[in-house]
Amino acid sequence: MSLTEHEIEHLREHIEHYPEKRAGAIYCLYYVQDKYGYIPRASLDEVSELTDLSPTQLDELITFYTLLRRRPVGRRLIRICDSISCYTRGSEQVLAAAKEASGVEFGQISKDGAVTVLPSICLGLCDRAPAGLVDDSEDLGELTPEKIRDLICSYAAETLDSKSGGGQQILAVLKDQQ
Amino acid sequence: MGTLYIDDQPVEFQPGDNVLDAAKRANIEVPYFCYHPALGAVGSCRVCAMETVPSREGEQPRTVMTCTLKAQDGMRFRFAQSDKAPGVSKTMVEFYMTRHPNDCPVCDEGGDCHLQNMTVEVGHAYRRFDGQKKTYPNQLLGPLVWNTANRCITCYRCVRFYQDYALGDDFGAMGSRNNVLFRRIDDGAFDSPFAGNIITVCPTGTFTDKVFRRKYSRTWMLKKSASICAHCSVGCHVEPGARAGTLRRVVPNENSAVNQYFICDRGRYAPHASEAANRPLQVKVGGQLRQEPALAVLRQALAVSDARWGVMGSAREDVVTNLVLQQLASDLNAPFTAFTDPLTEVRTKTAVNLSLSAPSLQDIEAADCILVVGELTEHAPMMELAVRQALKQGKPVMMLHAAASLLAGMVRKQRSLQAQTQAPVLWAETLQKLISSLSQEQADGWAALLKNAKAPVLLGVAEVMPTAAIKALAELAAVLGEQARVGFALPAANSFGAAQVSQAGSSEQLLEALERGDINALLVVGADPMSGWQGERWSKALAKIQHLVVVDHIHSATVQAATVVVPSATVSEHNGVFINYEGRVQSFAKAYSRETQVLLQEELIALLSGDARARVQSQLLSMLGSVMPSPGSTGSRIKPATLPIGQLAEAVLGNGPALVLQGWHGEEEVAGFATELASLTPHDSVGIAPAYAKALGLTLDKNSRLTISVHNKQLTLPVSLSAQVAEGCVAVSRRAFAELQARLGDEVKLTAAMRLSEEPAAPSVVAHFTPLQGDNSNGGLRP
Amino acid sequence: MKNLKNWVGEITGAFSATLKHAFAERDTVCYPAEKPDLPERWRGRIILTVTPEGEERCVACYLCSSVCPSSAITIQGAEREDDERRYAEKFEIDFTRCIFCGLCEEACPTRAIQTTNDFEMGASSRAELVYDKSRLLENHTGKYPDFDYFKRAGVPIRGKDVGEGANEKPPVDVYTLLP
Repeated sequence: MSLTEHEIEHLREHIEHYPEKRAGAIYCLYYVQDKYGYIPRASLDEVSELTDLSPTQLDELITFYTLLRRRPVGRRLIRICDSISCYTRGSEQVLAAAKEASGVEFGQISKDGAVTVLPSICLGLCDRAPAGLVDDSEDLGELTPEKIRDLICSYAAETLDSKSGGGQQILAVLKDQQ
Repeated sequence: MGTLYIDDQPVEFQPGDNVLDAAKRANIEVPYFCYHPALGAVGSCRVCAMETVPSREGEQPRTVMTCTLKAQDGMRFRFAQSDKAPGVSKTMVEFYMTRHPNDCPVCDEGGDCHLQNMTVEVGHAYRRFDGQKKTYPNQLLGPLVWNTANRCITCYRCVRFYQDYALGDDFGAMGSRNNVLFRRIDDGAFDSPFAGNIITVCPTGTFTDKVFRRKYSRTWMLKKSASICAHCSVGCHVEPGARAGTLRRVVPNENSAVNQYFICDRGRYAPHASEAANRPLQVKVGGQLRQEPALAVLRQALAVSDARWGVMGSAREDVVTNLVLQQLASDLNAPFTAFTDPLTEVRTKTAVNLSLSAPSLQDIEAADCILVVGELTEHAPMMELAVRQALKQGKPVMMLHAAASLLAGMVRKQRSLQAQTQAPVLWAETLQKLISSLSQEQADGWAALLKNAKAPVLLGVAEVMPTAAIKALAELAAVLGEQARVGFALPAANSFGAAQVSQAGSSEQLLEALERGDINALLVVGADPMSGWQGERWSKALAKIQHLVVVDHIHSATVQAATVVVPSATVSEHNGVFINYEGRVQSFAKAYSRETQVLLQEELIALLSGDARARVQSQLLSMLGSVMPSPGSTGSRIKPATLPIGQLAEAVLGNGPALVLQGWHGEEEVAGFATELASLTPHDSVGIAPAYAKALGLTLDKNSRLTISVHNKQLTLPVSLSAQVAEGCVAVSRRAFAELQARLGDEVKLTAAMRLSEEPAAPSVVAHFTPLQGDNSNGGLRP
Repeated sequence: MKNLKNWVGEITGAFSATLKHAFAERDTVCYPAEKPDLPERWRGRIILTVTPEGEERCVACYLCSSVCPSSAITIQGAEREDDERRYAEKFEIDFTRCIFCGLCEEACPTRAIQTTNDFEMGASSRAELVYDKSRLLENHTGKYPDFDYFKRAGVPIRGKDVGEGANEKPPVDVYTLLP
């Protein structure tokens, strides 16, 4: 697992926009996370080389922010809001249904590698509560247990290569777990 | 200066004090956790609360955190009289205690614990919270520091010291909210030479001394004394603690003028060499252990009839010992030296002569421009910590060095640090160029920085600097004017004092006398000539003589070759006087006596004739001035007359690669016998710059090995490619120097050797904790 | 007259008390043929006890030796090889110095050191009265059958990792994906 020369060049260019190299750390970490689905230990050394922050300091950053992660997730990461508005509109049932459909605990990768379900703090979609977010980009509104079940089933049906990058690695991670 | 009032009691404060400082100075017991005088206030623990007294009509009293409030004249606070403030402190302590484990009986901090003291002080005694306790996983942090994460109260002192004060970057605060954990990303020992101080700053038992843990005693049972660290020339104040005749721990002793609050890891862990399994603790004559008292045996050994004596003192022994030995030598009509290596002698004396305005550690911290010549971290860590304080404030620091150094490694992160690598033989020339560009109107680069500085400090490492470079650095200081100060890290704790008692060229004369056969007996006290820079010459010369009497407390090469071995006391085991790099005379007191009888250095005086004793007295007085400083005081500085120095040829610029010393911050003659510290010694390698290797036509990678050939000796070592090694140089450790019987600056031949196998060595894991890892776990929840 | 009255009163009073006790039940027993019945909290010979699992309770915290007013206790702690659990490598009580005040028992946070109601400690030399650990350690829990200090401490030991003690949550995981 390592970044290609091209990718490193891209990150280096990006970092140059900042007055200080370390300001580019978050961008680099997001970049790595987009590539692998999470931030592996080896990548920290590479990012450290680029940003002059030590791996420990990068880890301080990652563990501080919820949106950066050091653990692998499934091909699709589903966040379901459990804050007050969504809670009153039944997010508890939605979460329970999602957990049941994925077949594993929150935060774990489902057996087929398709999804990871996470409860989340407020997503700012209170008008469409209960709300969710897929892969930190697609928003979901007015969720019901049925809707979330269907969604997880549809993700499970996706072919491995339909999403760039992660597929093979997630399978490898699952293999390690067994 | 000014006065503020706490509970209507007037409290004087000093400029720069905060209210908490002022209260502490007036012995008002305000509880606090996160505040530390060296680390400043962050106001995160919320314990040092006081209530303001309204000064105007209509104003309400407020509860304030005193550490974050600058003391001002006429301020008024209620503390004991307040209704609210003690409640705030007590509630906060109770809150910290909700998840603090019931560890005190098994915690090494117990009895010496800030949290324990504060909890008792605020009167919190019963735990009302009956919920479950949060727990935190421990981490294995190498052989020196022990971590018990459950005890943490998240005051952040450790990270504030490690990252903000000592500029380390391999230890940090992980997580957020109430899930904060202070750890390294990977298990293992710290990179920083100052990591041991997190034990001192930690107000709880989260970080404790692992070496002390192995021979634990409650701290109130320890015999302590005000002592001086004997492991480099800075002379930090330390407090050894001993019990039952063995050394248990060493902690910094707070003082105002030298190291203030901290010590380096060498100072903290090297003294444990006194507990090394192979330490000589019994008199040995001709290989036979004897029960007789040390002094009697020494007297007997010196009384042999056919001996023509030579006497060798040591730069790591105190002033009195060296003076006594000098007089003993004159009694015996013998040559005397306190140095083992003529080159080191010349360099030390040159540096001592030029150190009359040497900066103290505080001067270095306050400097606005610093020039460092040589690998300072590896020779005098605490001096380098002072450099880091200037660096942290963005003051320009320039470094000229030849081998890898931790300070030079910070160049990527610290913008105001500039490091330049160069072979030591060229340093003098570079410094001369700097001097000549200073005189030009349009000075640029380093010259401009030095010229514009109001309080520049120049620091050199005497052991690795050629004499010409030492002189050039002092000349540079002279050119910069009175505001510039120049100081040198000397090779040993008492090098300054040793230089005062040895005549010009004394070590060369002694060595030559031995080689000629003029003397056939040698008394060595606290020195190890056979593994120093002239190890080969000494070994050959000493092999010829009949009587080699060695007094020492480490199992050195010279001790192993001795005909008579007399065990001596370590620094914590006797009283004495050291003179540090700035000429500061500091005395140290004995902390404990060993159960077996060892020779106390001050007992040596019994060997002297009456006249000689009087001469020791008068010399001591003339050298140290009127009064001997008391142990624990930071003494006063002496300004001795210029020492005569003999001439000695030094290495010149050759064509081939020159050997330079790759130091390590935990390395010192005695420190090598402290098992735990020595276990961290880096693996031997030959350091070479990638560009230079290319120029030599060598294709190297991390698995390459090189054979170094010098004077018919060969040594094959793995390569460590480092841009921090100067062009024209290869850097090797002291051990490799000894093995090659080489000297600094020797020209060597390099040839490629068989590569290392590509397979990594199997990791040895000794852990009963489950290591916390990011990648290979099964997801968010624990199984 | 008043003095005389007092004098007669005292004499008759004293004699009546003597007579009463001459026929009362005896408190003294025919020791050593008959053993006295001592209260449970009698402060006699000091012992070291073990946990219900049979592990030594003493953690070498030095509190007993520190509190001992006659400095009768000498301890040196050591660590068990596999789990760093500290124990007393050396534990000596010099009963020639011991004044049986019971402060050590009071100070002991792990209830290891306990006083018993054995007082028959006669010996023919002083050296015999210096009890080493082998003579102090007894293979029972003493007065506290259920107490196990390490279950309540935060340090991990063999068979109990961090977070597995009584009333403890599992350890915090900084890499968790959960918010």
